[in-house]
Amino acid sequence: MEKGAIGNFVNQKVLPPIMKFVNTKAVTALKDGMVYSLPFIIIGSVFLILSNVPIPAVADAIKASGWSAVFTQAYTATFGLIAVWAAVGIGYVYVRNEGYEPLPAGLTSLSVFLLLQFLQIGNPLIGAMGKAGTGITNSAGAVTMSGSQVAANIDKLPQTLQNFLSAPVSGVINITWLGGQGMIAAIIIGILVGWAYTSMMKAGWKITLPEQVPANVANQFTAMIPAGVILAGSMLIYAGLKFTLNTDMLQLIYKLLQTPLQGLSDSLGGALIIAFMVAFFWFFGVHGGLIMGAITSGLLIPNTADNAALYHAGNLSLANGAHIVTNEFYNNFINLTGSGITIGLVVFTLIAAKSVQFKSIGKIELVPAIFNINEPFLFGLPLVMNPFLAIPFFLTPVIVALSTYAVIYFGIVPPLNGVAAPWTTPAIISGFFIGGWKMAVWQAITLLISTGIYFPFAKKYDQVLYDQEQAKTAEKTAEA
Amino acid sequence: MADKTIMLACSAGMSTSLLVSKMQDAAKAAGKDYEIFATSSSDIDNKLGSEHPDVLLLGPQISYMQADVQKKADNAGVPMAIINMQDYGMMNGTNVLKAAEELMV
Repeated sequence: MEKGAIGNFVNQKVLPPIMKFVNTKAVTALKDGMVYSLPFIIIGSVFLILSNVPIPAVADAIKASGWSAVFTQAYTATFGLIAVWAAVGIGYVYVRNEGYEPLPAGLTSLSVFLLLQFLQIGNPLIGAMGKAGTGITNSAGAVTMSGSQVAANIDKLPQTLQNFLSAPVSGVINITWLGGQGMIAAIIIGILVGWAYTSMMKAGWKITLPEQVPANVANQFTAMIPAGVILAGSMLIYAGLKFTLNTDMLQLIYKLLQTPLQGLSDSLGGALIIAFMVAFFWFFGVHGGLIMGAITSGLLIPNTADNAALYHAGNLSLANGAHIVTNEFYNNFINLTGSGITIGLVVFTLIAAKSVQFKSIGKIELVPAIFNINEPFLFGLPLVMNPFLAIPFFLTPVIVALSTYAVIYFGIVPPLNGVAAPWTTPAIISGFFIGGWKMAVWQAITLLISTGIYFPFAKKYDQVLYDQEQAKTAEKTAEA
Repeated sequence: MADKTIMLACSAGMSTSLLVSKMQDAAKAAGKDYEIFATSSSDIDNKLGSEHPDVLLLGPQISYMQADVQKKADNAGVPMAIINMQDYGMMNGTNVLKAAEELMV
C-alpha cells in the first residue's frame, strides 16, 4: 500500500487545520444544532407533497376540498420554520457543550432572531393590485377579481383610506423570514448568542441567590443577566439599523451574505468541489460525508427550502430561481449508496468477484448499501488509502455531480422539488420523492454510471487479491 | 442487568450499529452478558452520563475527534479506544469485543 510523501503531507499538514475548523465550537454547534430541524423538515415534506400532489387530477380534487390549505398550514408550521429550529437548536447546543443549562440560551437566541426583524408584512393588497397583480382568489384558487379591477376599485376611495390600505401590516411575524430566507441569519445569531451567553456565564455574570432559595427559583435568575445583556444589545442593533438604513438585520444578512453564498453553493464548481472533497476526506480515513455536510448544510438546506417554497407555490423551475444543488443533491446523489457511490463495487462482488476478501466484504455490504451506508467497503476493502481504487473513488462522485447538474440544467430532469428524504432512504425510492419519476430514473442511471466506472478497477484489484490468496494457499499446502 | 456496558460511537450511529449486532453474537457465543449499544458522535456526552458505560469505542472515521472525546471520557472515568480499521470494515465482532474486554480489565 502506497503511504508515501503525499499521504504524510495530507495527514500532517492539510487535515489538522481543517479538523481544527470542523471541531471549533461554532461549527460543532451549527452541525449538531441543525439536527433538531431535521424531523420537522422530513415531516413537513410529507405535508408539502400532500398539498401539492404531482398528479394534477388528485391535486385539483384536494384543492377543491379545501384540504390543500390545511396541509399548507401543517407545512408552514414544520418545514416553514426551519430558521426558528436552527436559531434555538444552535444556541442550545453551543451552551450545552459548554456545560451550562442550555434551554435559556436557546430561547434567548429565538428572542434575538425575532427582535432583529421588522414584525410586519407588506400589505397583501399591493401584491393583488395592478395589471401584474395576482388579483383576489377564493379558497379553490379561482380568481374572483382581477388585479386591474382591484386597483380600479381602490382608486375610488379617499386618499387617506388608500394610504391606510397600502401601509405594511404591523404586529405580525412575517413567516418568510422563519423559513429558508432567514436561515443564515438564524445560524449566525445562534452561534453568537451561544458564544456571548457562555462567555458571560464563565465570567460569573449571574445573580447568585442565598442557599436557602429553592434551586428551581434560583435557576430562573441565572439566565437573567446574560439574556438581558444579549437582548439589550440586540435591541440597540435593531434601532441602529432602523434609524440609519431603514432596514432590519435579517434583510441585511439575506442580501449581503446569504444570496451570494447560496449562489456559490449552487454553482457547478461548488457541486464538483463538494463531491470531490467527500471522497478526499474519506480517502484519508475521516468521515467526509459528515465533514462536508457540516460545512455545506447551512447553505444547501436554504437551497432546499427555496425549492420547496417554489414547488409549494406550483412554479418550480430554474427560470423562477430554483436551485440545482440542494441538500438532496448532496444526500441523495453525491452520497448515494454511501460516500463514493460505491454501488458499482457491490454489483462487481455479486457478479464477478473471485477473491475471498472481495466476496466476504460484498456480502457484509450488500444490505447497508441499500441504505446508503458503506463503512464496510471504506475500511474493509479498503477504500481508505488504497491506490488501486482511488481513481474510481474520486471520479464517480465528481462524474455523478457533473452529470446530475447537467441533466437538471438542460431541463432533461426537473429541479429537485425541495422534499427531503432521510439520507438513509434507498436509491430510486428517494429519487421519486425528491423529484418525481424522472429523478428516480436518473438515480437509477447514476447507479449504472458508478458500476461502469468501478468495474475495471475492481476487476484489477480483485485479481491482485486473488493472486495473493492463491499464493498463500500454495504456501500452506507446500508446508503441509 | 448486564455485567458490563460497551458503548460504540460513529458519525450517526448507523454503521456501528451493524458492528454492535456482530459483537452481541460474539458475546453470546462466548457466554458473556454484555450490554452493547451504538450512538452518534454528537450524543457521546449525553450517553456517557446516562448509560455509564464501562468502555467507549470510536469508529475509525471519527478518529479526528479523538482528542475531544478523550477529554470527556477521562472526566467520566471511562477507558476509550479507536476501533481497528480492518476489524471495523470486516465487521469482525469477535476481534472488537476482545479489544473492548482488554480495556475493561
